[in-house]
Amino acid sequence: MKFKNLKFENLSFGYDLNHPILKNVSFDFPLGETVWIRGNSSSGKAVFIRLMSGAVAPTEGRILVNEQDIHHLGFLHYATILKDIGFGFDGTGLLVNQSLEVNLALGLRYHLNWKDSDIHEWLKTLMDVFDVYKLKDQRPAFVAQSVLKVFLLLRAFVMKPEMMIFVNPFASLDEGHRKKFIALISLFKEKHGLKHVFIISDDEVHLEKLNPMQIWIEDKKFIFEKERMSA
Amino acid sequence: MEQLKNYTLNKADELALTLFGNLKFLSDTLLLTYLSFRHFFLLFITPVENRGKIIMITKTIVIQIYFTAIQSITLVSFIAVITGSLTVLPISTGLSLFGHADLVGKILISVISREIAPLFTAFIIIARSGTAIASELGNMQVNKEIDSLKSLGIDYTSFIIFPRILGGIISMLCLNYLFNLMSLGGGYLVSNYIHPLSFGSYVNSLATYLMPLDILVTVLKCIGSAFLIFSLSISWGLSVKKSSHEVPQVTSRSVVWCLASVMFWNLMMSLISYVGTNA
Repeated sequence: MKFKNLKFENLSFGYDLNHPILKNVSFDFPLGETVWIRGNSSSGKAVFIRLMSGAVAPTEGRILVNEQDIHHLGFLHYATILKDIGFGFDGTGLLVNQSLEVNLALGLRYHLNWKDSDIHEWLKTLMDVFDVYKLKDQRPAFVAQSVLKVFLLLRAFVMKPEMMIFVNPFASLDEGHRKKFIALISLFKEKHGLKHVFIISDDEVHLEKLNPMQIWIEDKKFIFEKERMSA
Repeated sequence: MEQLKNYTLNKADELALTLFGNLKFLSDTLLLTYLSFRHFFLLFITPVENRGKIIMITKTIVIQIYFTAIQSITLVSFIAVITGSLTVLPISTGLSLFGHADLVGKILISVISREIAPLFTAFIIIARSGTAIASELGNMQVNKEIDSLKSLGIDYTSFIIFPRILGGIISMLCLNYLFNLMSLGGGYLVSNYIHPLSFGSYVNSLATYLMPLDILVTVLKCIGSAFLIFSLSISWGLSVKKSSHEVPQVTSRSVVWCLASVMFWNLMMSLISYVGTNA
């Protein structure tokens, strides 16, 4: 699918109705860019990935992808969009009773009718980037946090999506893996049709290397860096 | 219920709120189960395109049957033999004393096949699989595994819920059959040791009085019980919000709900079948 636009329209969200994290946000997200979503601690940065992944729904307003309200599409229709978005969560999310390789293969097996040998070959290529192929049969509970993080990041790349959203991608990684992650994003942009990248992070040092467009979350709203500076 | 925070509620109000809350939970459970079945069968509209999904779901059904049925064979057999012995022994002895040994089959079919087997099998499944599913799904919620599946575009209703319910129903039917076999067979062996009874006349007596209605009632009891156990356990498991301390709480609530609903369902089915046949 081609992402033509991504908008929040009068969107509010909060886990507690009396304490909204986002309030009446109308924002047209830039596409075709690497976007760095920034904000102070507890500003609600991670809510963006939770809203986009369908884990939570807005308390008011709409999220429009290609002018379609994703939370009123019904899951089966939204799944066809989700398949083209790679999510790189932070910390948790892998199925604990499955091996790391099975976790990576879930989306491929479910959505695409690839042969097992093709799936294995593609996953090996990805795992080799971070030199973690030898750990493929381990379960998430039996590997170090840094390895877990690598697999959480890799899962975003598996389906060769057009859009990727990451939360704290550099946390828990060593310097070598951070560089490889940046290189992998560039490679996917060049060869695998990756067009839109959203990264939620406080890591200025590494994000600058991706030359991102910056968006801040302040006062429960999204605001472009330029507007923020001029204000 | 944020809006109710500003009101002072008396006991009757709280009772009504609890009742409505429970009814809502039940209706949500039914809706979730319905959606899981609907989403699964929708896959067959384009089976070639959905081959991967159908294979993954079928594998999960097989795994559920393995965990619920295959791994319970020894436990079910053990409980069935003891239950059969405790039931067959007094009945056959008592009937022989009154010269009605030929009625052994009729009473055993009524007591073991129609009443005890479906109920005890359900109890075993609640203890083993109901608790396991509620805590498994509770932990999946805490670890954000369900959210993660959704983010991959994987429909958790057809991938998580449907295979557990269908696998549970198949397992319950198989285990109930095993329970009947072991309790009636084992019961005979123990009974025969104390009070000799010809095997031919025992089997003949059972076969004579086994009616299609008995099989229908037993099957309906099993399907209903399994449906209740698995859909309620799943629903309670998914009700966990954020913290792992909620997992044991919902697991124990799930057991209470499953026990109460299974007993109610069995009672209703028995009443309907006995009133219907005027027996």
